Amino acid sequence: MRNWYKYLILDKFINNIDDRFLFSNYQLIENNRNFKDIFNFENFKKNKIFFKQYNFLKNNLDPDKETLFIGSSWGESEFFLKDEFKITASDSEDE
Amino acid sequence: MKLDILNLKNQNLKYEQIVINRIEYLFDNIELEKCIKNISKISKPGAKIFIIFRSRDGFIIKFIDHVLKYLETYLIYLIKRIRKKKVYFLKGHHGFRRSFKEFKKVWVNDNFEYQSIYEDLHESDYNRLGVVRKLKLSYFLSIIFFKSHPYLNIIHLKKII
Repeated sequence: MRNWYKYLILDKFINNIDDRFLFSNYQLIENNRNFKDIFNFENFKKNKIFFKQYNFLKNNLDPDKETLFIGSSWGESEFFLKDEFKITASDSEDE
Repeated sequence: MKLDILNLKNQNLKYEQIVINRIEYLFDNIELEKCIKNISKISKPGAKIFIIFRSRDGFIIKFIDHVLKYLETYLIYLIKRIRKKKVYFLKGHHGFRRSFKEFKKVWVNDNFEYQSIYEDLHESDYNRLGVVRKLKLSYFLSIIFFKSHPYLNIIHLKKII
């Protein structure tokens, strides 16, 4: 195991980037300012990594079995798989 | 539903399939072991476990992270400063990287059995470098390194007992 750092050039100074949990939250928000767009399937398909992940899960999950999703992202794969699979997200919101 | 995988409270539900999507890089070894123990507690015998991760380490990845990406970002920072832009160069702790061997060692234990690994996006890690993107070198690099740096990794495990 080794520490994984990211280098950034920003026009404002930000604090707490030594805290990986806060830094991860910061990046999740900054990199997905238009996060609602990824919940549109046409946009979602254009994101290679999301779509490959989605296809893998679609082909490998058993639709009859209860599935728990634990993740640190916006839950885009879960969102599009939820109609075909019995999915429970570990951190879900109503909206 | 809110589930803290490091701190399970009154969790009686057990699942037949669990997908763990990109949380491992946030955990140090002690936290990761705790997370694995808790996943074992909430999975039924024979359950399918899929671990999706992009934090796979290797010599070239380490060189990109520590040397090339640093130099490239710092150079851009210097150019911006010369052009009198008020910018900051910052180093953030993103998390932890582990080699595939380390992953297997920590996950495959008395509770979980290794089934397979899916690997894809063999060019993406090189494309983190602007110069590679500009010169369109990622395909060439993936061939030179025998597609040994997949960005998308999905390990399939089976709960034993």
